[in-house]
Amino acid sequence: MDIPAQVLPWQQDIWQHWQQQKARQRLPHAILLTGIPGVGKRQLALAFAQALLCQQVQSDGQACGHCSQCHLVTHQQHPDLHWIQPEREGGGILIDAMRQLRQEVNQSAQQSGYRLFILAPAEALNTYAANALLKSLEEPGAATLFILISDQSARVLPTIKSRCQHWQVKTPAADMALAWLAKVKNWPPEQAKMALRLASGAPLQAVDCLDTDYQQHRQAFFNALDHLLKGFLAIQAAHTLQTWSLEANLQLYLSWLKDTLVYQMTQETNRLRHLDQVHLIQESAVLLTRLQIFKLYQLGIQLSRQVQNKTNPNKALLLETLWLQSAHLLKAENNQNSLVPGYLFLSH
Amino acid sequence: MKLSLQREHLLRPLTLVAGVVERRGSLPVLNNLLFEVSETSLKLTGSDLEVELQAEVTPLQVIKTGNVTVPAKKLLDICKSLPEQAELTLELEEQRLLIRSGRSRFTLTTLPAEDFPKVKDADFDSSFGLPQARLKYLIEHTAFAMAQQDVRYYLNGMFLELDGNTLRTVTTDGHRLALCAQPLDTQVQEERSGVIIPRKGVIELSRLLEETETPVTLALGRTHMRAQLNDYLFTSKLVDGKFPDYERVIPRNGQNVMQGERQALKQVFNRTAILSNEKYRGVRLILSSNHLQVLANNPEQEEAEEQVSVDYHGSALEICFNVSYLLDILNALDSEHVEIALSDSNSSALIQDAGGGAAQYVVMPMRLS
Repeated sequence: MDIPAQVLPWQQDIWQHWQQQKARQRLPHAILLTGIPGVGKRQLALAFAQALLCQQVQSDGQACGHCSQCHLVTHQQHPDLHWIQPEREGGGILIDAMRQLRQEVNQSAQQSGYRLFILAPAEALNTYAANALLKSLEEPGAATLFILISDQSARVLPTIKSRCQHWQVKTPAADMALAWLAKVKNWPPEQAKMALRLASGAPLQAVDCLDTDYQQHRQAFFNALDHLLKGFLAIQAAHTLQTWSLEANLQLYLSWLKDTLVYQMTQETNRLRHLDQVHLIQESAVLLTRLQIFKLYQLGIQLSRQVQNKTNPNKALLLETLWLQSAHLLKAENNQNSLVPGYLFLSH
Repeated sequence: MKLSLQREHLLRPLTLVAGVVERRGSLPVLNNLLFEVSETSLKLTGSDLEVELQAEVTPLQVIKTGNVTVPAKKLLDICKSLPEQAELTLELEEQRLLIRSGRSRFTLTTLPAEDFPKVKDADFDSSFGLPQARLKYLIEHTAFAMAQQDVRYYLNGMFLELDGNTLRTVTTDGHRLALCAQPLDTQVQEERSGVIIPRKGVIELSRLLEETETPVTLALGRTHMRAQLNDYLFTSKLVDGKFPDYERVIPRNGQNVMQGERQALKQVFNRTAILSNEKYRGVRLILSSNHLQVLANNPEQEEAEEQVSVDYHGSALEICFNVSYLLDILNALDSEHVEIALSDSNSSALIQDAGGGAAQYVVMPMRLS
């Protein structure tokens, strides 16, 4: 876990609330922290955890960063701060982790202070693990705090949600996010703006959006799309995109459809995410009917769900399904309009 | 950090402290021992986060003070295999520990001392002393009845209670209960209070205690308990829960009292146990005037029957027990005669030394079918 503990500017209101709760000794025993990916939920959770453990808390409620407790936290050695995460990226949190957690919950804190359990992401808990967690979550002893972090709180069991106090990290306003980006990254304003757009406004995600790998992926995706729209083979598109993860592929796919829909309805380009691909989006907005867009979107969602449910899908197979079915959907629709196959997508 | 030591001074403390270290691998620094060298002493600390043991060793000479952590297992192996009466020099050189003894030379990797999660000298509410033998007696007479990995997590340990000038230990697994009390020389506090020491802590602590009158100082806090014995400082986490009200389950109305010789009964139960059901371990006790019949059978229809004369004037009674529970108790008691107080075949039995002793045991009977 290499995440810096920090309270970001747009999290100040939550931080203040928590400080007040702490001062009045009204802290809940479990917090569910939600928000879109890249708004700094883990950073905030860690900052608060460290502040609860710190021996010399500063006047703004933040940890001092140099007492013995802070040392243990920053060196990831603190015995009372437990990170619970999937063993591998994208995997589930299993019941064994919960059994171990219960042992820790049942015993007093090793450093005589707070006991903290940060679960991230909470939607990765499988059914058994979630049910095993309920008991611990229900009535932990004094000085215990669970922080559950979730990008998609809809997928967290309602029984777990009902035991937590719910806090949402809001996506910051564009100017606040841009100001922050300007501070941490030395980007030209135009570039920062585009990155933020691509990240749906999440500043930490924006930092990743400008790395070359993502840019390459995006380029490859739009090339493939261009080919598909021009009637080339879908299977080839699927093949070139295999280098990147399924999640990333589906995300791009869905964001392209969103842009297309937005453009079709508003005819405005300034709302688009893929600003540099305006041309292609305009083209697809002309080519696709509204029904087609929704059908394609449904397909994307359906496949995302398969990926999220940890059914361990075959990557090549799933990508081929995505592109072939997209091609098929387009073909079927256009066939109804009795168009000549082969020139399917150019004619409108 | 630089100091010299006699192998014999280091070996026993090192063995004990390294014994606490568990290789679970959650935190790499826990595979290490913390060395704290001051002008006059060397403190060794090992921890598995649940229990912590610190030993104090007197070095031959301290050349430079300092703190560091060193791999426990490797250091122990080195010390063990050095010749007797060897003299060691330990020196910290650029984050490596250099060990020299005679013509041998070892370099060990180290981790910074600040990374070691030592238990803070937490505020302990009450602290008192008693002879080691007395605490050992308390633990030995009750430890066997602790639950093991029970979902009622507060039973997986030993309840240590301060009550006026009495110190009491209570353990139970839900089927049987063991209770033992010993007097303290001074009254520690007014109100009754207790802590639950986790199973591992109990086992480690009893290993340190010896049959001597040398005192051990116990300190109880909100999150930890601590025992100071001579050169050792033992600290254990506590179970964060409420121990059940044990007094409610101790039967006071056992009018049918049987007294018998402990050794004789033990042998009888040992023999009948052979043919009891391997899973449930049930034996049937049939009591009549001055006579006890013990019966056991198993699913293969094999049977054992024993007759033994006892001192019994109560009404005729038939009752069934898990024989392992009875044997555990008879092994723990230490007087020649024991007594079992019963009321009927569905109620719990109270077992203790004849005429009452420091330890009392409650066993639930098995249902007769």
